[in-house]
Amino acid sequence: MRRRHDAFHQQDGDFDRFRFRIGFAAVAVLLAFALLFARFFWLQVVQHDYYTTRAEGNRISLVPVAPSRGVIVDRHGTILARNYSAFTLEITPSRVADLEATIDALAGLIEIQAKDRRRFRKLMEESKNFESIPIRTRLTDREVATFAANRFRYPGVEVKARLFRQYPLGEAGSHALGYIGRVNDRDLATIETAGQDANYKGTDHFGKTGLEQKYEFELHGQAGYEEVEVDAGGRAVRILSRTPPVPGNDLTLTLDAKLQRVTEQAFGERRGALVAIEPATGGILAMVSTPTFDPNLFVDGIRNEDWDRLNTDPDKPMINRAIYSAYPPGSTFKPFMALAALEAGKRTPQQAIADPGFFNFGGHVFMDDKKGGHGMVDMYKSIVQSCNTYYYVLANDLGIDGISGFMAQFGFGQRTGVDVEGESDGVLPSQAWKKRRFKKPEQQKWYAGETISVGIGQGYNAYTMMQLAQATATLANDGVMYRPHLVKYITDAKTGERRMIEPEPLRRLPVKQQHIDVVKRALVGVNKEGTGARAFAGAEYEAAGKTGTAQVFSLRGEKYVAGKVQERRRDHALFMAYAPADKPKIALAVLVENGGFGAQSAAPIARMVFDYYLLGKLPHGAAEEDESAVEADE
Amino acid sequence: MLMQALDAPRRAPSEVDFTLLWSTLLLLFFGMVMVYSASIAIAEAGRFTGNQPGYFLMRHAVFLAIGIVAAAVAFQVPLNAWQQLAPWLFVAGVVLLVVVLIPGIGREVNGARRWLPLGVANLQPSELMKLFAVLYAADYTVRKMPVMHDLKKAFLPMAGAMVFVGVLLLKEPDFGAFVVIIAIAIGILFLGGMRARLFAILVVLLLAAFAVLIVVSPYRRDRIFGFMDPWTDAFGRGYQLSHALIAFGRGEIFGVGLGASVEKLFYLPEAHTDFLLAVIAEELGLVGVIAVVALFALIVQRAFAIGRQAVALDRLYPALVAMGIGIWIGVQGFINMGVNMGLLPTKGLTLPLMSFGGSGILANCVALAILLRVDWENRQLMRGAKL
Repeated sequence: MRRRHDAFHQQDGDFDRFRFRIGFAAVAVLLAFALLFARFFWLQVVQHDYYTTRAEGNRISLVPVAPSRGVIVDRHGTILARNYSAFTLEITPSRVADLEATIDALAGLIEIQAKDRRRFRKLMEESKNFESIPIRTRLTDREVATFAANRFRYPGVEVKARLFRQYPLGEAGSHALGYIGRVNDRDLATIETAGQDANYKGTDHFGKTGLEQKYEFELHGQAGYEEVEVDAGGRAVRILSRTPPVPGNDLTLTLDAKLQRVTEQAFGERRGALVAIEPATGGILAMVSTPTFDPNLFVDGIRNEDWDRLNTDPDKPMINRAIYSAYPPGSTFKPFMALAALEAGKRTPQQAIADPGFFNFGGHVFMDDKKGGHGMVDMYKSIVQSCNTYYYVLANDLGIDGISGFMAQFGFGQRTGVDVEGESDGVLPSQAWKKRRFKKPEQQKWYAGETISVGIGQGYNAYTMMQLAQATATLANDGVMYRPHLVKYITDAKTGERRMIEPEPLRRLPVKQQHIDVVKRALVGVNKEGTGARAFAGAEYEAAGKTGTAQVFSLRGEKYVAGKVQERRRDHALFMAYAPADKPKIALAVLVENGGFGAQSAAPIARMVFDYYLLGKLPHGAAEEDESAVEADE
Repeated sequence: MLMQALDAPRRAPSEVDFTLLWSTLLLLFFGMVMVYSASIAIAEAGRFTGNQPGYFLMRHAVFLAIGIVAAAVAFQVPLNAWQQLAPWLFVAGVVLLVVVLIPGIGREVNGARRWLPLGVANLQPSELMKLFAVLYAADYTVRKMPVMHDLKKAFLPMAGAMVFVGVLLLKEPDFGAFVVIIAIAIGILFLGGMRARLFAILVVLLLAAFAVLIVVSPYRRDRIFGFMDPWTDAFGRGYQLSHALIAFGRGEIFGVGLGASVEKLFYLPEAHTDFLLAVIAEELGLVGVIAVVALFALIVQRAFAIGRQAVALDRLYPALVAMGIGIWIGVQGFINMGVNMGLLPTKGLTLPLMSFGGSGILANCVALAILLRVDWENRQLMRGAKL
């Protein structure tokens, strides 16, 4: 210390300089505070009038103006989601002394049902006190006029024009479209993370599922605001300035609404899923999950009884079976197995095996689908007749990791990256997968016997119809794989510019064209002389396909007789197909839950889809009036 | 010692600087009242507060109690000890600033990673760093006094340390704390005898860099000048400020009355932290605001007076610490008030001693205790007592 002080003193005039500098700092501080004071005075005294405006008690309020949400149309311009404006009767709870009495009094003027009151109470719990909350929606002109005449008696009650979301096609394509609902805490967190807080100030709806969710920030638009002068009662007296909102961007889908409808009707009452893809682009033409639900129910707050009905329904309509549910592919796996064999050099197309009707693997007998066997079976015949024994032997030759390594290239067991949320991975079994999946060491080991059933698409195999459709499209497209997508382009609301969602080629599979041709020829054979022949009898185009049947429950020893098994334990029926065979325009995968044999219930749905998409033919009886309904909505 | 001093004014009527002590206590308790008033509505509406209107008040009261206890303890510590501890505290502060950036440890709120969760409360290292920066910069300046005229030996090491701390703060990001700490460092170096020419060059350079930034990128220009006319983007970046200005305008001379602010009812975000002054302005008007500004001015004035006294007693380190604390409280208070009034762009700085926030209150209380200690030591020395 001593030394330092000396040093300090040694320099002549240091002390004076120090004092000068303190003075300098003091002047700086003084200036700063003077500046603050001046600004205070300016704001609080001089500009006071500007902020309080002319009259006592009046104040400026900033009112956000929510933008109108973008419209969603299908590839032909059919409207799938739009907005309409309607009058609502709204109450601001903070400005009403006795809420119940006010509502009772209003009920004397305008019909207010018990369900309206229930919804109001529910919304009130979710909202802040100073927000205005609708008690009645969709007022008629007469009701608006009646209230307007009595308005002075009800402070805090107003008629407002609000935009409502509407899905004109109702249940059609609801899993793809999704729906919007009132903003909740989770949505708020999403909005905050996206840095969109300010933009959502006036917005009370948010995309909850499907495209409405995925493209929320495209569809939403830019909020505007009004600087308004309000009276002591909080009513807007006049607008001082207005910045108009910018509406949300419109989505144009690759989806074909009519095809979607036709497909859903083809399912009838049956549960299932279908995904149809344009092989050359990955654009999804139809994405069906039945049963469906009506998204309109959710728009202004779903009623409890509707919600309970949807959630307790044993058919589970809210599940998106096309991308969320994973099923064993059954025999639709066989064409891919055949391709794997050719690529691995384990089989040639001509190489034939003798099928005695079973395959004995270390004392365990795997039965063929046909009693007594198919005789001599080469690759073509194995696919056309769907011979199990051929694939038991083949699976054993390829080994489980040989199979999974090849199938992974086709996207089996991975999310496709389709532009709606809620995709499952599915299961592509391999040794590594089993090690991850199970905890106990004895379960983690892969047994060679398990490979055998994987070879015919059973066992641990489980894929979504989106994955199977993508794999089918990739095969149809000679090995070029695209990411499946629902949106074709986004139209910018401000500039009218179209932003194309470009077809995104994920990869070109390193598969020889001659091998693909062998499998493709066999797939054509299926629909000509094999398991799909009956469904495609008399078709005016050449379609390639493969049937499949997936076991739901294994019946030990018992013979499987569809009629005897409980409906829910019946096998799932599958079909994968594309058409026309030489220049595929559409590829699809379809599954009918508990539908029994693929040839019986799934293949005919594929036929109807192709007939409509390629020829414009409606399935007979399939409701001309529905056709006109779609027409009317356009 | 603080409590003793309060209890026994007769024995030693001027052992502590009562002007400073009372100004500080007044601001602290006035701050608590205003935090309650500003937060009551959001506390009652918020789900995370369990709908208790006193949620923020209770917390603030606990923070205050902790702060005052910590201040009483800090008052017992001689400045010599602070000087010896200073480099270690600075290192500890840097470590905390690094730790807070580690994902999984630092807690992120509204996109800024500024807090360390400590179970019951969160610690904000940047607030503590402001105190450590004062203690360290003063120690550094005293040590380098003989070579203060030398750019390489005196200025560059400090500049390096500050750039490092600055980078850490900007990573969080906490631009407000960055500005305050840079101001503290430059201020103490300047008072400690940094060459006037160098100081002038530094100021000119900073201004030039600022000007270049504005001229080069139009979007930044919009951002920086956006605060001057918040109404052009009243629902975006200008939202807070528009409502703060409405609050000021509504206040007029005597305000709308304590508790009667409308802007705090969800219109003005962060009313109980960064924009507390706007609520004071609305509820208590020009009178309330002038009282706050006057108290802050008084504290800063006392800090510099105590610093001068210490210089006169040849106590260089305590002098620089005292003035450093003055710079800190003054700069942060000025920036916060400036932001509230639309004089400066929004930064995210609290009003010292008043705004809600545990780490801030704690650091401010300890700083003021150190300031009182410097003064107490001055008085002891002037009486001929030994330390």
